Amino acid sequence: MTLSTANAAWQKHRNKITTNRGGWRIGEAIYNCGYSMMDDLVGKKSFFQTLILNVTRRLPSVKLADWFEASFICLSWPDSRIWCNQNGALIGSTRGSPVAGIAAGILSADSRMYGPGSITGGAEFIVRALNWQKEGLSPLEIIEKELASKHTKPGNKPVIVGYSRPIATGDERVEAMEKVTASLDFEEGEHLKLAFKIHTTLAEHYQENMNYVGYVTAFLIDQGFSPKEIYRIYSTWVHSGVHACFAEANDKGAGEFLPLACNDIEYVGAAPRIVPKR
Amino acid sequence: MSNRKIKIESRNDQFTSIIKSEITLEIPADENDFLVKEMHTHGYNVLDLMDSCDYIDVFFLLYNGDLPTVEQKLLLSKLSIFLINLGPRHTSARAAANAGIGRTDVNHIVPIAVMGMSGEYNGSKEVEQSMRYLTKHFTQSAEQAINDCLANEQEQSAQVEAERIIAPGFGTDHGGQSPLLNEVKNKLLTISPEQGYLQWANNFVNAMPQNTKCGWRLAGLVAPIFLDLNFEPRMGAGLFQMLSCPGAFAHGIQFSNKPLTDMPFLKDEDYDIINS
Repeated sequence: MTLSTANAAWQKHRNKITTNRGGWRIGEAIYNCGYSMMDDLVGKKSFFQTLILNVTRRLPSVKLADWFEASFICLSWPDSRIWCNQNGALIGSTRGSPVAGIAAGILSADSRMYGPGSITGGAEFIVRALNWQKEGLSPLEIIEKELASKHTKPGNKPVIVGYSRPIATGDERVEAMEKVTASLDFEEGEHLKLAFKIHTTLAEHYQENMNYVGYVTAFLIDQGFSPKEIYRIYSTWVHSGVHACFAEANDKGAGEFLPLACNDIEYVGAAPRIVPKR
Repeated sequence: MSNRKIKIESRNDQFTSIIKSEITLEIPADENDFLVKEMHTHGYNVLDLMDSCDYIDVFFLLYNGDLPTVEQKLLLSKLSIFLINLGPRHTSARAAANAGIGRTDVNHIVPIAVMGMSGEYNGSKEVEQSMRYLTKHFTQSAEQAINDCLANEQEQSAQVEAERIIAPGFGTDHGGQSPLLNEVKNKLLTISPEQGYLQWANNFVNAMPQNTKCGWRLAGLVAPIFLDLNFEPRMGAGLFQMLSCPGAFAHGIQFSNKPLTDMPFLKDEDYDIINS
């Protein structure tokens, strides 16, 4: 029996790793994307510079890494009512490991409603929107075209990712990051300028505002990051708040965080019935 | 910046004050609200379910609200047996094995295995996407659907990866077709509903031009069976994860008491750093 061409194509990857990211050469050095970690990075570059280097293979400037660090602070705060934080707290309360609690919180925020899970939608929208603007569409026409392309459940308000927010309208983090952007002397690029025009138009016509994901993605697309890179960098975006909620619940008595009595669940299903003979 | 000042206002959403469940009724013990004296799943007392049903019955009941028919039970049972062990080469088993050999807390092996099977290539995301594809195109003729796929593929043109996936769950599997998967499909076809999703998927695969070398992928077999069992697409990923998890855990836990050297660690000459 002869092996197929496809088989040969897969064979070449067996028992072999080729990497452009780096690795450990025992007794020689640890490499990160061409840099020696101990000689070039530790004590010389920040954690965020190194993180972004590992994701993108590009070492960012100090000021861009500082911008990222500020943006990480903004997304996560210690309110255990927030869904990802609450999962950290629940696992803390049941004496789970901190790694499990934080990992569960991070995974919870891979959501199309909030957190890093909404990044791709927000980033791809502003890229699409700028192309439409260059084709001559006004901000209002861009909004209408985007909303018309979306499938929304009847009765639900149509939403553009990056331009709406659960619980509240408006987003204080946008203003905070504008200050950071200005203090670090970043210029507003074409995506961010358009994002603000969409924000103003949306507020006027739909009573919605740009949210934090809308701001961050527009800024970073202008800085040359792809949607995929932004999603990867921010994958652990919420961990700080989850840490806080885990720690507090873990320090309290086991099971004390939001215990539920039987009657805290309202049963709305089938009435009690007899199991049929099987 | 001042003209961009944003007013933050609560939406004043009306959140429910109590969690509702369509699945479980727990009747509290007489003297402690947190203890249960009687529990019902979709109306059935758990003690009666223990006497009269098996695991597959209650698994189906949980997600469908009713006990399965004889035909549904047979189909789910056979699919479950196939999925219970995807083998040591599946990413889920490999992730679990890395955790086992790496002395990860054994408490974490199952969640790691589940994350290892969550991808859109050979994982639960592909199952979900395949279910969504099938529900969207089920009313089309299989021939029309395949023509649309091929036309769409031409539009996207750049097929740079080794695998050719023409619709979620359908395409090549390591560049070819799995003989085992084909045999499993034949077995399941004989007990699947006439005019059902698996039958449609079979017509869809049969309509693929032979020169494409495309056909069944694992997700393309699992997805139509889930739909034939009345499971919704949004459930597909989780159901696949649960049914496939036992094997992945088995492959992981077997390494948890083995020496670190029982798993390969590539030599430097096989680990090529191209820009060190």
